[in-house]
Amino acid sequence: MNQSAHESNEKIVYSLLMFFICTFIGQVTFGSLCGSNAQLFTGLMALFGVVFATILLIRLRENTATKNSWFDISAGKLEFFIALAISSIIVIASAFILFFTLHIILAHTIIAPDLLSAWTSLLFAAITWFFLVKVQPDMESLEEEDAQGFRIVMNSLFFASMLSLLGVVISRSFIVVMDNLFAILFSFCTAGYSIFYLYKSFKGLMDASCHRDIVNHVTEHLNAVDPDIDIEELTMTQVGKVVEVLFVIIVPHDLSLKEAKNYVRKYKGEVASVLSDSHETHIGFKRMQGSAS
Amino acid sequence: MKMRPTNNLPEGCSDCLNCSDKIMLWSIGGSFFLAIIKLLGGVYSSSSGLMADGIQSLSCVIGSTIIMFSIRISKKQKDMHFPFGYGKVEYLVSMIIFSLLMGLGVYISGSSLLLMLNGNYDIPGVSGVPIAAISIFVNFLIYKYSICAGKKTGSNGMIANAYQAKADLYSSTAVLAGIALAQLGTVFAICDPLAAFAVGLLIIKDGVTHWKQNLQVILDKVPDPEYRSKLQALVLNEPLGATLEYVRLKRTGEKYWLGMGLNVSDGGGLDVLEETTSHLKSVLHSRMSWIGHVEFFLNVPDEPVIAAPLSDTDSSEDETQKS
Repeated sequence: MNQSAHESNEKIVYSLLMFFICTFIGQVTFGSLCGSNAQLFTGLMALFGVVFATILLIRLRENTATKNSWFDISAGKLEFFIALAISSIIVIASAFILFFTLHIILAHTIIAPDLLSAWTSLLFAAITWFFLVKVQPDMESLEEEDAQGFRIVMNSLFFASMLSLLGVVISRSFIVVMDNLFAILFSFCTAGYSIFYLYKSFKGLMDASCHRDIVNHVTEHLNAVDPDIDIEELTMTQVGKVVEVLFVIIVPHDLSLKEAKNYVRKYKGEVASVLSDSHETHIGFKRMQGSAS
Repeated sequence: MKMRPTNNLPEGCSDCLNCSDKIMLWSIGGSFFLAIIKLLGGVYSSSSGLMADGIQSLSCVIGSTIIMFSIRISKKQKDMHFPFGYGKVEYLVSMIIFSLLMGLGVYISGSSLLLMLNGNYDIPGVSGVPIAAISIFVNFLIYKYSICAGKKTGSNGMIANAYQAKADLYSSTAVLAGIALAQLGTVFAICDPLAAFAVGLLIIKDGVTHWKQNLQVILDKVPDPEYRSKLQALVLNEPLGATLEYVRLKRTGEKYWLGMGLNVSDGGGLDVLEETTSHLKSVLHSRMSWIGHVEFFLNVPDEPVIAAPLSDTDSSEDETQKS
C-alpha cells in the first residue's frame, strides 16, 4: 500500500472512530436524560464500531508505531486485548441496564420516555445514514472484510435508532412498556455479540489453535506433498489477522543443508497455496534417525 | 513480574501443591464467614465502614473461587485446542479479579465520599470492633499461607488470592480504627466513612498495580530488553557459523516458549546443524532460566520474514563481530 493510500485509510478510520464515539456519547446521554432504555442500548451498539475502528487503526499504524524494547508486541495481541476490554464493558453495561429495565417492569414503575428521545433518535438515524452514504465510496479503499464490518455496525445503528424512535412513539401513545421491550431485545443482541467477541479474544490471548477443520485440512495437504517426508507438531494460531503456522518436517538422516532449505521453501509454498489469509510459516526439522531439533 | 521457580520446590515443601489446594478452600470458607459477620455486624452497628468491608469479603469469596478453578485449568497439559498450554488462564482470570476489585474500590470510595459530603453518618455501634478484629486475624492467616504457597508453587493465582486477603486486612484495620475513633464523640463520627473511603483507595491502588503486572504477562512482555542480542551472541559462539534471523517469544505461564529462526550457509549436512541446535538448547536452558520450550526453524533468505526481525543495528553489529 502506498503512503497516500495509507494516510487516506487512516483518515477514514479516524473519522469512523470519532463518529462511533460521538454516537455512543450522544445516544447514551439522551437515553439517560429522556428515560429511554432502548436508546441507551443503541448507544452501546456504537461501541462495537469503536472496537472495529480501534483494531483497524492499530493494524494500519503497526509499522509506524514506536517500538518498545520491553514488548515484542505483535499488534494481534493488542487487538485481542482491546476487543476483550470493550466487550467486557458492553457485557457488564448490558447486564446492568437489562437488570434495571426488568426491575422497572416488574415493579410497575414504567414511565414513558420523553419526546426528546424520539427526536434525538431520528437525528442520530439521519446522521448515521448520511455518514454511511458519504463515507461509503471512501471505504472502498479498505479491505472488503473491514469495510463490511463497518457497514454492518452502521446499518445496525441506523435500524436500532429507528426502532428506539418507534419504541418511544408507541410508549407515549399506546403501550407504555414498548420502549423497555425494545431495550430487552437490544440487550440480548449486544450481550450475545459481545460474549462472542469476548470468547474469541480470550482464545486469542491464550494462543488457542485455529479451527480444527482448517488445521486438519492443512495437515492433510502437507502430508500429501511428499510421501517420504512426515509432518509433526503442526500448530496454527491466529494473531490478529495473521495465521501463524509452525511445524516440524521429518527428513532423511543424510540430507544436506541445501536440500533441507529446498524442503523449507517447498513447504512454505505449499502452506501459501492452502492459506489465502495472511500468514507466517516457521518450519523446524528432525532427522529420521536423529534426535529432536 | 519476577520469575518464580515452579519445579524446584524447597526442601520440606514437597507437599506445597496439596497445601495450596487446601489453603484455597480455607480461604473461601474464611472469607465467606467474614462476609456474613461483617454484613450482619454492619447492619446491627450502623457502620458504613463495616458494610463496605463485608462487600469486599464477599468479592474475595467470588474471586477465590474463580482463582481456584483457574489454577486447576492452568495445570492442564497442552492439547490440540491450546497448543501452547493453559498457563495464561491464571493471568487472565487474575486480571478479571483485579478489575472487579478496582470497581469495588471505586464504589466504596464513592459511596463513602457521598456519605461524608451529605453528612449522613452516625456514631457506629461498638459491636463492630470485635468483628473487625476477627477479620484482621483471619485475613492475616489467609495472606500468610497464600503468599507462602503462591511463592513456593509459582502460582500467580494464589498470589492474587493473597493480595485480596491483604486488601481485606487493610480495610478491616481502617474500619477498626474508624469505629474506635468514632466512639470519641459526634465530631469523630466522620472517621467511620473516612475509613471506608481510605479502604476504597487502598483497594484501587492494589488493583491497579497487580492488574498492570498481569497485563504485561498477557501481552508477552519480554524478560529482558536485550534478550535478542544475548541470543544472537550465543548463536554466533557456535562453530557452525549460523546467525539468528528472527525470534518468536510466547509467554506460556511462568516460562516462555522460544522459537528461533536460524540462517545457515549451504555447506555441510543436517547432522551438524542438529548437533549445534541440541547444544544450543542446553546452553540456553542453563543460562536463561526463563526459557521453557525451545524450537529452531530453518530460515530461507529469499522468504520475507515478518516475525520480530532483528533491527538493522543488531545485524550490522553481528556482521562486524563475524568479520
